[in-house]
Order: sequence, then structure tokens, then C-alpha cells
Amino acid sequence: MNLLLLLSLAIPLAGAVLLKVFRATMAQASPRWIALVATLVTLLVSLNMAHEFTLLPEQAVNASRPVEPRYEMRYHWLTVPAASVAGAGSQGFQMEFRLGLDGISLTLIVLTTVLTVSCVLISWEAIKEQEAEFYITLLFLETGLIGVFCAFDLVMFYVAFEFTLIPLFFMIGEWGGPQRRYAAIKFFLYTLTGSLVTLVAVVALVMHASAGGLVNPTSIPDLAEWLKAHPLDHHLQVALFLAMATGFMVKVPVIPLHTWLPLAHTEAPTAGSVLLAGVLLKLGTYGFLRLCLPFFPDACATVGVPLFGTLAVVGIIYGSLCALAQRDVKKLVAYSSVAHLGFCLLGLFALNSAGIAGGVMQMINHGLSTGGLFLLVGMIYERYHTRQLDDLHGLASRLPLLACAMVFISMASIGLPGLNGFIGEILSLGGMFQRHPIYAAIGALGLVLGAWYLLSMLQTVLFGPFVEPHHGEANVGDLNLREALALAPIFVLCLWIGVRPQPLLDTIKPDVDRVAALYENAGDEWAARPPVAKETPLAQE
Amino acid sequence: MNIAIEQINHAASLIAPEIALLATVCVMFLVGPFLVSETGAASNGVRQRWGSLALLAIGVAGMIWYNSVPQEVTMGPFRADALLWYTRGLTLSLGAVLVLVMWNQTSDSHAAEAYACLLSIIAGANLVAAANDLVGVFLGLELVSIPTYVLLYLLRGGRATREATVKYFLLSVFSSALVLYGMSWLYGAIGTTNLAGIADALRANKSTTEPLTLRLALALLVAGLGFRITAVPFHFYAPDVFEGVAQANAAMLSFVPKVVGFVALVRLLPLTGATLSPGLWLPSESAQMLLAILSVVTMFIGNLLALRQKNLQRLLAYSSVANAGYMLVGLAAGNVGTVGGTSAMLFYLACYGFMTLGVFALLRGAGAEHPVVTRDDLRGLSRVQPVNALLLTVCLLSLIGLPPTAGFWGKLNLFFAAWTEGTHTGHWLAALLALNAAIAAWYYLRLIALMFLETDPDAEKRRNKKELVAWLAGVFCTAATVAIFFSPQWLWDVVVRATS
Repeated sequence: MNLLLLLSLAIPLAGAVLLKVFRATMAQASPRWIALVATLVTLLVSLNMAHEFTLLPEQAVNASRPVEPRYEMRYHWLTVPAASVAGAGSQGFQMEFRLGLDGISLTLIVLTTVLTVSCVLISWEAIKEQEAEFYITLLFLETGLIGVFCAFDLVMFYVAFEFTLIPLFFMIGEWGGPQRRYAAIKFFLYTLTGSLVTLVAVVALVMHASAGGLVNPTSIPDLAEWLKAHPLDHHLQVALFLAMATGFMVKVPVIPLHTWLPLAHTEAPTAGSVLLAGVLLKLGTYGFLRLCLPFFPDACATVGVPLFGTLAVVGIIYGSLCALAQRDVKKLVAYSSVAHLGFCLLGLFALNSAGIAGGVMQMINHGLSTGGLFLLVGMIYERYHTRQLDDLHGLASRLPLLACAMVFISMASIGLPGLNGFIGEILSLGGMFQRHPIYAAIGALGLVLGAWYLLSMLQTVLFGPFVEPHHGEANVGDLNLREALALAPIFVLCLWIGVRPQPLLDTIKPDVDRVAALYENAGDEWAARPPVAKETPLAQE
Repeated sequence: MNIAIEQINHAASLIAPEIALLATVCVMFLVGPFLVSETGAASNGVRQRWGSLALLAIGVAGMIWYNSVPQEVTMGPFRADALLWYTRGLTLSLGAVLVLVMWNQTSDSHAAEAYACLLSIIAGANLVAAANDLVGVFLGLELVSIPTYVLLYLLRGGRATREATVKYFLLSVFSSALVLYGMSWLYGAIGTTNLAGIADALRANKSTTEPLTLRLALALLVAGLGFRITAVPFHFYAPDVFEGVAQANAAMLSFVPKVVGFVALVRLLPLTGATLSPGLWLPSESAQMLLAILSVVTMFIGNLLALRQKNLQRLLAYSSVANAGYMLVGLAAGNVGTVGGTSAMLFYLACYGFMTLGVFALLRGAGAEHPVVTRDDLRGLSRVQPVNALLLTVCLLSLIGLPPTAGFWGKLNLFFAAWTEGTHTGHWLAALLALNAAIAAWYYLRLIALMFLETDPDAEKRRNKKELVAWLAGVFCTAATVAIFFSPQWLWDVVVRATS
């Protein structure tokens, strides 16, 4: 396990270094092969890790620890010795490279490795300039993302969180669309500014705990336990909660701070969009789940629920309406992300185990379905060099397989029962319904809107009279093997989670329950039989 | 008689590295002129030989430093302690970098003098840390300033350089006068120039000394030394001087005066009675207010003006102003909380040295024939010098404060220090520091964007035109920046020992 976790971080890194060092002597095609091998091996390692994870001994749930990795390893990083002043009971503190795994981080790591393989495959032909550099940034990004998910030290979490900015900045800025420079810089500065506010909150929290006598205040589990035993003063708690949430709000993105997202998505290359939507946005929600919820129970319940409930609902409605108005397919999908993450947030801030589990499910489902949609949009763009709804009509007659895939993924994204989107949205809404029915009721409207914009997009692009935009190539082929392989794992997972969500729910359940135990009504029955909603959104069809 | 000689020997042994440096300086000044003909020409390659000699001298000094133990010994005019040990390590390792950056920037005929000036600047910086007397501190400061005037003009002639040198000279003299004036008030209040003696006197009768006199001394010292660390409003010379002088000199100015200024502040500020406990830097309320205001103004002015700069050396001048502001945050916080402010400041100083000299060295390394002067010269650098662009990016990311670089730890420690200070001032300083880090990201990031995201057919002229020696210095700095991120413990231990 030790080895596997380190390998999952080291293999992409090693691949990147290999590419960098031998770039000059390589044949034209080798960078992508090396990248493919590296990502595939990482995928295998992560799957193996998931397997070993199920073999780990069951841990007794310790009610006093809201966050508890089921497996961890630690290396010393920096010890700050006690300052020479004998004031405020300071006894110094230490920071560690603290890698760990719990059910939530494990599933997100697997999601990352799966999507990265697809990213390499989709970039196979699309990236023609500076190939080696492209795959280097992709592999660095993968390392950073895995690093965030397995970090159980606050400083290390922050380090990895910030580090992911750098490769993505280059990916958007170098291989993106016409406005790429502006998009890259806007993305970078927006996110950096947000996370600096988070950093202030992290620093304040760490120093507070250190002054209170905690020896390793940067360890997330220990800090959560300490904060449970020594709750913060309410005002301080609210202030720190809001400050810490700022960085995550930008990343998610929550409504007033979302303006960087559509631009970054539209300008990024396909692989960048897939990872941005599929995994990077999850860093925000993951941050909420991993840090805000366990650290600030009081603030979450009093301020967080109304604030983020409202913002999430506004995000769902506003994002959906914006998506409805877009003429660029990629932008449409980007705005749909804003809406989908609203559901995720709604689930997390239901603050009960059904809701939080729904939020986590929604993270994974959105990663899969939106990742898949971006892949498909990228494939269409590669064929016709346009993404405008006005240029694309009735493609199903020319590209039947691609059309099938698109319908399938859209259905997953809409939340058709039997596919993955359904389970997450229902759990989130159900959880929120217990907490505050009104948010859930308004949020449910988003399901209808989601069906509306995606179905009308499908109708325009795939069906109706065939209008092929002007393009250079003589004939445009359907999905080839490479593209099918890029989509296959996503399809399998969508279907599998939709039909049989239980294994996944079982994996995340203990960790979700730990957090939910901080907040009163933690129901246990939901996992056994997911509640069935009375009104299914698909009635609209 | 014998005792006197023994004492002199002992005192000299405390500053053995500086003696090695200054002996080399004498050799260079004395021999140098004989290798230049009457017309001012020198045979080709003399500069490399003088450069090697300078490196050798730094190497010898470094060996002595490495074998010394950082423990407190006071002997006559000198005092060896952990702060001196830290300063020496920093100035010697980065002094070697400066020699390498200067490698081909001096003409053969002026090489001896140029390297001699650089070595005496390094020695002066160490002597400031080694001094146990106000006079010694002042002599050290002047041993830095006076060779600087010469050095600024030696590397590059021309109008702009002349203007820059004169500007630096006049303002530097003015600031020295301020420092001296501050010292005289200190002497007037206490009655001794011995640093340990002043500390003892303060400890003995803290209440009876005239507080106003000491406060005046504090203000004058901060003003005079503020010139060296380019604190606003004493920063006015920096952009013009940085722009006017050669790259190697701008590199030197961005770093050595900061070391000198901050080390002198660490040594002198506690002696002005501005501290709640003698011997430790816990600033009193008024001193803290002064330093906090100074740091906030410095950060904002530096960062906001840097946003508009097109000339790189000018931009780096404002960046160095802003960084001085960050470090003043540490000084304003004081050694109060779990993370000492002075320790965090010295930690940042080391990180800053590596990253900023890394930037200068790599810019210099990009080519001497077509020097990188303005922002636009960086356009498309990644296409023709990919490795150089990558290393430069690492250094710039470090200046932004992003992982995986030393700058991240530097900023984080300052945050910790400001926050643990505990009062509202500390919290505000931390918040404003975060705001400034975000502003600063913009102009550093724009340079990275220029190198990687834009193309320029003109960039082709730089292909295979690297200035190898300076570039290697840049590689060393970049490697150090990354290394400090991964194992910060040793550096942290050193700075904690230096401030306790």
C-alpha cells in the first residue's frame, strides 16, 4: 500500500521527467506513447490500490475524529521549534509529508487516473505542436491532483492545491483557443487570489491550534479532532470558515465567483477541459468536504447552510439558464458544470450523511459525464473545427456511433435513472430536503432545466436535416478505435455506478458518516436503499 | 605584551573569512594595475583569471566558515554568534553566484578592481554582522557602500550609468549620515558604543534612560538603513539605479544591501530600547507601528508600481522594494509567537537571495550579445532556450510564492509569524501580505506568459547564445530554491539559532 501510493505519485512525475530529459532524441511519436504508458500504469496502480483498500481492516468509528484516513504514511518535513519566548504556551509544531487514503480520496484518485488516460488518448492527434511539453504538463497535473487527494496535512494539501495551477496555466495558455492567454492569466490570478485568502485562514487556524497546545496542528485529522474537543468561538469560526471557503468558492465555482470558468473551459484544449471539469473543480468541493465541514461545524450549520444553499440554488438555476442561451457547445457544457456543481454543493451542505454522500457521488458523476461530454465536443471540433450550434446539424446520419455516445453521456448528465447522474442528484436533493426543503425544491427545478438544454443541444447537433459545416478533409469518419477507447472506461463506469451504486457508496460511507456525525441526524438506512423521488425529471421528455 | 598579541590573534580569528577576502582584495588592487598597459589595454583573458581568484578567495573563506562553529564568542571589537554564521554562509554562497554573474561583464582592464570591489562588499556585509561596536557596524556599512560606488561605474560606462552612480552615491552618503546621526543619539543616551555595553545599560536601568532620545535614534536608524533595504519612502533611487547599471550590479544591489540592512536592523533595533525585553526583539508598540506602516507602504508601492514596468531591471527593482516590505512584516511582528518574526524574516532573506539572484543570473545567462533588457525581449524564449525559460519560471514562481519552491515557505513563515504576533496589527499584516502576494503574482506571471505563450521570430537570435558561466550560477540558484522547498529544516534551524 505504501509503495502503491508513492508509485501513483511518482509514475506520472517520472514520465514527465523522462519526457523532458530525452525529448531531443525522441522520435516524433514517442512522447504520446510514453505518456500513455505512464498514465496507464498509474491507472493500474490506482486500481490495485482500490483493491487493496477493500482488504484493509475495518476501523472502529471513533466519534471524536471527524476525519480519519484509513491508511496513512508520514514523513517528517519541517519542525518549528518552540520560540525562545515563553509566552502563550507555545511549544513549537511540526509539519509532515502526510499521505493517506480514505474512501472519498480513493474514489477521486481513481477518477483522476481514469480521466487522464482518456485525456492522453483524446490529445493523440489534436496536439501537434510541442507534443512532449504538452504531455509533461498533463503528467505534472496528474501528480498534483493525486497529491491533493491523498494529502492529510494542511500545508501539503495547500501545496498540492496551488501546484495544480501551474500545469493547467500552461496547458490553457499554450495549447488553447484564440483567447488562450487572457483565459490562462484570468484563471490563474482568480484562483490564486482566492486561495491566498484560504491560506490566511489556514495560517490562522494552525496558529490557533498550536497556541492551544496541539503538537502537529497541520495534520488534518488531528486538527479536526482538536477542534471538536475545543470548539472555536462562534465569530472566529464564522470568519475563518468564510475565509477558508473563499478559495474553494472560486475553484468550484460558486456563483458570483464563476466568471473565469466558461472562458477557461472554452479556451482550454480538450484534455485541459476534461481535467478542469472532471477533477479540478472537485478540488473546491473536496476542500469544502475535507476542511470546512469537519473544522467549522457551528459555522457550517448556521451560516454555511443558508449561504451555500442559496448560492447553490442560484448557481443551478443561473448556470442552467446560461447553458440554455449558449450557441457554443463547449460553453454550454461549461455552464452546465456550474449547475451540476450546485447540486454537489447542495448535497454537501445538507450536512447529513445522505446529502454528503450525494455530494461525493455527484463529484464523481459530474467528473465522468462532463468529462465525457467534453471529450465528445472535442471530437466534433477535431472533425469540423467548429463548435457553434448554428453550424452543426443532424450529425447522427454521418457519425452514428458518436451520436450514440453523445446521447448516452447526455442522459447520464441529465440524470436518467439507471445511469450514474441520477443517484447523486437524488441523494443530494434528498439530503437537502431533510435539512431545508425549500432549497431542495428549487434545486430540483434544475433537473428540468438540465434536461431542457442538453436535449435541445442534442436535437440541434445530432438530429434533423444533415448540415455539415465547411471543412477541409475529404471525408469525416466516425469514432475510431482510439476515440472509442478514450470513451469506453467512462461509459462503463457511468453504467456501473448507475446500475449498482452500492460498492461505491460502501467505499465512501464510513468517511461520510464520520463527517456527518458532527451534525445531528445521521441516518443510516439510505445506503441500503436509495430513496426514490416521486417526480422524476425525465417526465419532461 | 603577550596577552595583547594573543587577544589580537583571538579577535582576528573571529573574522578569519573576512581577512581572507580582504587579503585577496589587497592583492587584486596592488597587482591589478601592473597587468594593464599604459593605454589601458590588458591582455585577453585577464578577467577570467581575476574571476577565478575571486572564486578561490570565496572558497577559502567558505572553508573557514564551514569549519567554524556557530557559538557565541565576544572578543574586543568583534562578536561571533549564530547570526554571523548565518550571514556569512549566505553572503559567501551568493557572493560566489555574484562573481559568476559578473564573469564576462567586466572589461579585462578593469577586472581586478571590479572583483576586488565585489569581495570587499561581501567582507563588509559580514563585518556588519560581526561587529560588537557601533563604530564597527558603521565601518562595515561603509565597506559595503564605498566599493559599491566604484563598482557601479566600473562594469559599464555611459550616461545612464553615470547618472545612476551619482544618484546612488549622493543618496547613500545621505543615508550613511542618517545612520551615523542615529548612532550618535544612541551613544548620547547610553554613553558607550559597545553593543553589549548598550544592551547591559538598557537592562540595568531601563526606566531612567531618556525614552525620547532612544526613539529618535530608532527613527534615524530605520530611516538610514531603510535606504539600503529599499523601504518606501527611501526607495526612490532603486528603479533608476537598477535600470542604469549593468545586470551584475543590479543583481548585487538587489541582494547585498538587503542583507546588510536587515542584519544591521536585527543588531541595532533592540538596542534603541524599542523592545520589551532586552536581547530579544519584541518590538514596543511605537516601534511596531513604525515598522508595520513602513512594511505596508513598501509592499503596496513596490507591487503596484512594478505592474507598470517594461524594463526588466526596473521591474526587478520594484520587486525588490516589495520584497523588502514582506521582510519588514517579519521584523514588525517580532519574536513573539510560535514562529518568530525575525526568524521568518531571515528565512525569507535567504530564499529571496536565491530566487532573485537566480532571476538575474538566468537573464544574464540568456545571452550577452543580445541582452534581455525589456519585457519584450523575453517573448518566445521558451522556443529557443527551453531549459533557461523553465529555470526562470521556477525562480519567478518562487517570487510569487508558489510551491514547489522556497518562496512558498518564505511567505508561509512570514504569514505564521505575523499571525502569531497576536494583536490586530499582526492579523492585518498577514492579510495585507496575502493581498500583496496576489498583486505580485500578476507581473511575475506576465513574464512567464511572455516566455511560454508568445512567439517572436526575433527570439531566434538567442538560440545557442547562452552566457554559460552566469547561466550555471542561475542553475545553482534554481536548484537551491527547489531544494529548500523539499528540505527546509536545516535552514530553519539556522535562522532560529541566529535569532535566539
